[in-house]
This record gives sequence, structure tokens and C-alpha cells, in this order.
Amino acid sequence: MTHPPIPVVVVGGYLGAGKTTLVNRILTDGTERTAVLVNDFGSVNIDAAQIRETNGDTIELTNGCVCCQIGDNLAETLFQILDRTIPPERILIEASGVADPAPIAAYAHIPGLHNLGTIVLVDASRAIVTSRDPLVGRVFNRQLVAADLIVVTKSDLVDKDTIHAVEELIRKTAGRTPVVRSSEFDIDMTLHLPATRPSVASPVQEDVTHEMFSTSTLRVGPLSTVDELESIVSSLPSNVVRAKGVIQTRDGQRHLVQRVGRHVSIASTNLEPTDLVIISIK
Amino acid sequence: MVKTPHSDGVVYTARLIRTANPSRPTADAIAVRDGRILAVGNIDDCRSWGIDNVNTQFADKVLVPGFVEGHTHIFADMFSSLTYTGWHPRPLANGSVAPGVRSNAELIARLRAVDETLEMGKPLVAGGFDPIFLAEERLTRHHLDEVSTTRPIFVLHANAHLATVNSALLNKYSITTSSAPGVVRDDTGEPNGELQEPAAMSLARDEFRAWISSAMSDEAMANFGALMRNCGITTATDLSSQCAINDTVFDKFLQMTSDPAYPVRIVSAHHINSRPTTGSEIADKIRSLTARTNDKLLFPIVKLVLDGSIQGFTAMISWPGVFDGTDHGQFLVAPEQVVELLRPFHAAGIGIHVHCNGDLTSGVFIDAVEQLVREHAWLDHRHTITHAQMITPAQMRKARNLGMCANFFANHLWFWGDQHHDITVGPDRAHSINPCGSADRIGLSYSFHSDAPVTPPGHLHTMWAAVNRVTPSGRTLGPNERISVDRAFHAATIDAAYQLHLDHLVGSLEVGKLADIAVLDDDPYTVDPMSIRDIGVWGTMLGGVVHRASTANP
Repeated sequence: MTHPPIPVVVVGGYLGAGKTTLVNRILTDGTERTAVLVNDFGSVNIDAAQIRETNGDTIELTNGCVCCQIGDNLAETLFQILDRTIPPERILIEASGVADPAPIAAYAHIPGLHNLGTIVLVDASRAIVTSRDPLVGRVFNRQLVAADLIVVTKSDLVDKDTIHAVEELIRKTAGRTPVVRSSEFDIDMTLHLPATRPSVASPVQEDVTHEMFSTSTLRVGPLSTVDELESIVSSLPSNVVRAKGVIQTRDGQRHLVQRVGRHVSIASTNLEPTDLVIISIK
Repeated sequence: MVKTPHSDGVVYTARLIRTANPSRPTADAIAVRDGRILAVGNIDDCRSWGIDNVNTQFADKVLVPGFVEGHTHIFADMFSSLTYTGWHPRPLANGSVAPGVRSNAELIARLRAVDETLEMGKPLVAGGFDPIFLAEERLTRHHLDEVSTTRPIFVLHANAHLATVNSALLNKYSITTSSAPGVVRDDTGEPNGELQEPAAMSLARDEFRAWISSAMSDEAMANFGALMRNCGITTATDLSSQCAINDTVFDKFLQMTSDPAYPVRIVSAHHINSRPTTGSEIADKIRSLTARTNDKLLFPIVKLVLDGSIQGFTAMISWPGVFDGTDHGQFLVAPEQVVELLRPFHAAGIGIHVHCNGDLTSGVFIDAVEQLVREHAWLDHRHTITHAQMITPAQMRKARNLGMCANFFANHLWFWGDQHHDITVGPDRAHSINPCGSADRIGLSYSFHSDAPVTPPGHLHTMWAAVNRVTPSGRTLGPNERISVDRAFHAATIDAAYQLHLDHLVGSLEVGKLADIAVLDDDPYTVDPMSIRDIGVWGTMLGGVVHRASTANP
């Protein structure tokens, strides 16, 4: 395997939570060459002018992105992506509206991939009703439990009390998993977070341009082992929604460390070392 | 006797003919002309059509309608190409029976024998292993290392959710260092060789692929026909066919079934889950295929899967839920989308079979059909709840009123009956699992299936299971749900044809219908009910063409 492992993000959430909107946006104005895996092309809305080639279960876009229909065998779809001459820079798997994202995220451990985490979208206007539904309530709750980061969508459609009730529901089910509102949070930009920020003199630097979030950089090192690195990134406060950096250990090895919500992943890399960029809820 | 211009044809005599037509339930001769049944009755009635050719090769046999199997898969014979390691003996397409593996030692011996025949470096992929039945230490990589320390070995379990692999395979893919969930570790933190769920199994890329591709090969398609013929099945359903979405696959099936030597009619059911948003295009496509196909490749139904399995804890079961274990119940499509997914097919007059193992999914499907019937007044839809293992009496009454059918997984009573009693649903609900007796009392039309390769195909076995409801430990699971041999016989023939919209063509021996016959060594009605599954199958007749079952048994 000559390529660095491809990061995989799983996006879950019940019907109507906004997964398709997110998928369409990432495909059409994606800033990285992303492979988006969906259950069914039917819901994907790609401008014909942006389509370079359609081949069975794969649509190639002019911007380098590719959209794949999963069919019956997710492993095979991932194998085929790994076999592409130019593999994508990241993979986004859209879980079906009733799927538990956890077993899907397990596929991100196939050699050549690495699991960046699971983002679950929650429709603020429907969450309470769905969670109590006799048929799908437990499916909905299991999605919350599987999430590393929860994004509440359509919060502008409901009043303040409802938002608080939804956030309370999430806290009860998913504990300390960070929760953000989509109106204030750009998932796509977050996934794309550049790790090439130059090192600065002070060990911690705050950027205070956003109302809801603070971006800070943390100088990490020098560390002896990957375990030490993992323990540091895991022990960052639970209001961290995203972190990324290239950290060198004493043996000279470089590690791309990422955190999405509560999920920490570490992969070897050849990239230049950087500070750790951290986005937190204020 | 006066010869008419249509004097061609053959009269077959038999020890007994059971027709599955209550108007004339038994006969001793049957006349066949142009692949169809010309007459059923005594030899004189049959010859009175001007036929001199009387064939007595079945004089000591019992002829019954070719069995109709409403739920199998085209890869039913996968164990002819994968080394079989299951506990129950497994019949294969060539007529041999792969013996059951009854201990880890037997497993090691079986794999060693295969290891010696394989070329260097080629992985050894085995399937069907079922540790539930083995009262000894659970299989680990150490057992498999006794077979080979150099050749990767991949042993797929019967439930297809687990595999046990050897150290050579763990090393090949560096699974030792993988943090993947599903890689089971021993006390020392090393992987013990067990890979749980497809995601972990797919870490072993080549072996995982070998399993999938063996299931879909040309050889598997050809063997499907042989395997069905060997157990007297003349119409078998391939549930999750690609024909409606892939012209190459359709052409391949058309060519295969056009060969008069291919011994079974295939009901090719499109899998709605695989293309959920294009239902109306696919419904149109299915209608166009119906115009282009032959009489051995049929498109009367489509299929949707709504939940998982009871023994995998992925069925959607209502209160009080799973008996002993963790509920991983999952809907494969959202309940609120079911009507929308089914509408194009119902509107086009195509039968719909929906996989519902748990009672919650049966309820969702029944409610969806109620809505569809309100929208499109197609009263003869015969939409079928397939598996229907936990369907409740209230659901059966409503399904009956709506004109629906059930296709019960009768083989579960034997293959997992004890597990359902002790583990999955508990004693009470295990007694009413696959409730054929209640369906009879309520008047819900039903059939049985094997879901091959999940269990071996064969309606003498499903009938035996539904009539006796015995488990391997000797329990009678729900004595009040047992049914008569007569009911079981109809469920395996004409009632199965009914729910496939094929009862005008197959499923009973009546004048004008296709000459599809199973040739049995004995009469299911008069043997000891516990011996029904042991009745030999000589072969079949399909559209008047005789097909001998393979007898490759050593």
C-alpha cells in the first residue's frame, strides 16, 4: 500500500435529518477529492454539467469527487475505491436513515483506510417524536449512541424550549458526546480542516473570530510514544469538536492525529509536523 | 382404440399419484402431451386420448406435483465450491452429502485433507461451521494452526456473521495490530482468530472475496438447478435476482434456462432494497422482461427485506423483546418509507414478498398493504410475508382479510428450534414460532421455504418439520401448531404456487397445467410422519422432460 491511509467519515442520522443535503454539498463544492458512498443514487442531486462519467454504480465528477452506490456489499465498494489509480483524499459514507452507524464505521479499519469518526445529524423539529416512536425510537437512540459528534439540524425551525429539550434528550442518551448546531457549524469546512498551519511561537494561541466556537493551536511535544500522543488528544476537554495536527515522536516518526468529537485517530504520515489545531465549543 | 391426429404423448403409470387437487386427490396414471398434463386418472382414461405409448418406469413410484420453493437464493449450492464444515450433513448438487463436522478434531481433519489438495499459497476457505452444536472449547486460531502455519485459512460460520482464521491469515493482513472492532482477543491481548461481523471479516480481503464470488459463479448457477431437482423441486425462487437491473445477468439466466437439460423453473425476484428510488422504472422493466422471457424464467414477484434474523438478534421484535442476549434489531428501510417503496410494484400488478422475521416488521408490512389496497384496488395481489416467523394471531387475521399470504420458515423449527427456546425468544414464543396451525385455524394461506443456502433445500424436510415440530434435543415445539400431512403437502405445492401467482401453471396435477412432477420413492401420507424427510427422490419431470436426481453418493 503506497498511499497514506484514507480517512473515512460516517454520516448517520434518521430520515430527514439533512444527510443528503450534506452529501450533495460535499460532492458539488468539495474542496478535497472525496468519495461519497450512498445507498442509492436516487436522492443525490448532481448537476449534469458536473458529471464527467457514469459507470454502473459510480459517478465521476469533474471536480475529482466520486459518488458510489453501495449495493449489497460495502466491503467490495471500499475495495474498489482502494484499487483506484488515484484514490480519493477522503471517504464519506452515508448511512441509511434507519442504520446503526457503528457497524458501518467498523469497515473503516480495512487496511488502507482509517476511521476518522462518526457524525450523526439530528433533526431538531422531529427528534422528540422520533425518539418516542414505538417502531423506530430505539433505532434513533442507537444512532445517538454511535455518534462521535452530533450535529443538530433545522434548529432555526423550532423555538428555544424545543432546542433545549432536544439537547437534553441527546445528553441523556449519548452522554458527553459533543453537540453542535448546524446553523453555526460548517461540517464540510470542519472535515477539511487544514493541518498545515505553521507553527507559532507561543504554545497556545486563540482565534476569537467566531461566536460559538474558538479555534486554538496547541504546541505538542516532544513525545516519546504514540500512546502518549493518543492519551493527550483523548484527554482534551469534551467540548472539542475537531482537532488535527501532524506530530513527530522522538523516534522521528510523524503521525497525523485527528479528533472528530470524541473519536481520536492516528495514522502515520510523511507530512511536515504542525501544531495541533483545535476547534471547541465556547 | 381410435388414433387421433394428436396421438403423440406419453401415459405414465405409477404406484400412486397425489395431485394436490382436492377435486381428484389421487390417480394411478397421468398423460403428458407437449409438456402439459393431458389427463389424470386411471390408465384407460388417459389412453382414451389416443395414446399408445405407456411408460411404466414409475410403476413403483409415487408421483406428486413438482415442489414449489418460494424462497431460496441462486447460490444455494455454495458448499460445492467451499469446504463444508457445518454440523448437519449437507446435500450437494452432485448428489453426494458432505458429512457433518461434530468436533474441532473433525474440523481439523477435514481441513487437513483439503489443505493437501490445494496448491501452495492458495487460501483455504471453508463455510457452514456452527460452534453452537459443539460442546467443547471454542474454535481459535490455534486449532487452525494445526492445519497449516503457512496457508491462510478462513472458516466462515453458519450464520455468515463470524469467521475463525489461523495465524497465517492474521499475519497476512497484519490483523494482529488492527484496532478494528470485531477482532476478538484472548487474555494476553492477542487476536484469538475470531472475526465478528462482515466489517472485521473483510479485513481478510482475498478470502472474504473468495467466499462472495464462489456464491455468484456460473457453476453455482448451474448447480442451483441440480440441487433443486435432487429434492424434487421444479419451481424455485431466486430472491435477490439482478435480472431486472443488469441485462447481462438476464441474458445469462435466459440462456441457462432455455437449455432443456436445465431442470428447474426459476422465479426471479428483484430485490427492491438494492434500488429503492427507481421502483417504477424497475416495475416497467419487469413487465418488459415478462414479454421477452421463456417459460422457465419467470418474474411474478419482487422482494423487500425489512429486518434481520432472530438467531442473529437483528429481527425487530416487540415487547418483551429478546429473551437472553442483546437486541440488535434493525429495520433495513424505514417503516414510513415502505408504502412508497412498494407502491410502483403493487400498482403494476406485481406480487410483493417481504422478509419479516420479527413481529414488528410483519405489522409494518401488513399496514402498508392495507394502505396500498386503499390506493389501488388490486384485490388479487397475494402479497406474502416471507419468514413470518413471529407473526401474531391478530396480524394473521388482518393479513387474511387483506388477501395476503405467509411463507413460513418451517426448517427453523429443526435447525434453530432449541436456540429459539433457550436463547433468542424464550420458551413461550418459541412454541408459536412459524405458527402453521394457527394460520390454518385463521384461514391464512401459507407455504414453507428453506432459504437455501441458509438451510438445505427440500420440501420433504420442510413438511416433516411443520408436521412434527421436533427439535434436535427432542422437544416438540408447540404441539398445537403442528399440521396434518395433507396441509403440509398443499403448502409445499399448490399453495406455494398460489403466492407466486403461478397456480394456474404449476403446483398441482391438473389438466392443462405444465407437466412438472416430483418422482418419490414413497408416499408422504402413509409413511411414519417422522420419516417424511427420509423419503427418497428419484428425480423430476419438468414440462414433460424427465430429470434423474444425481446419485453420486460414495
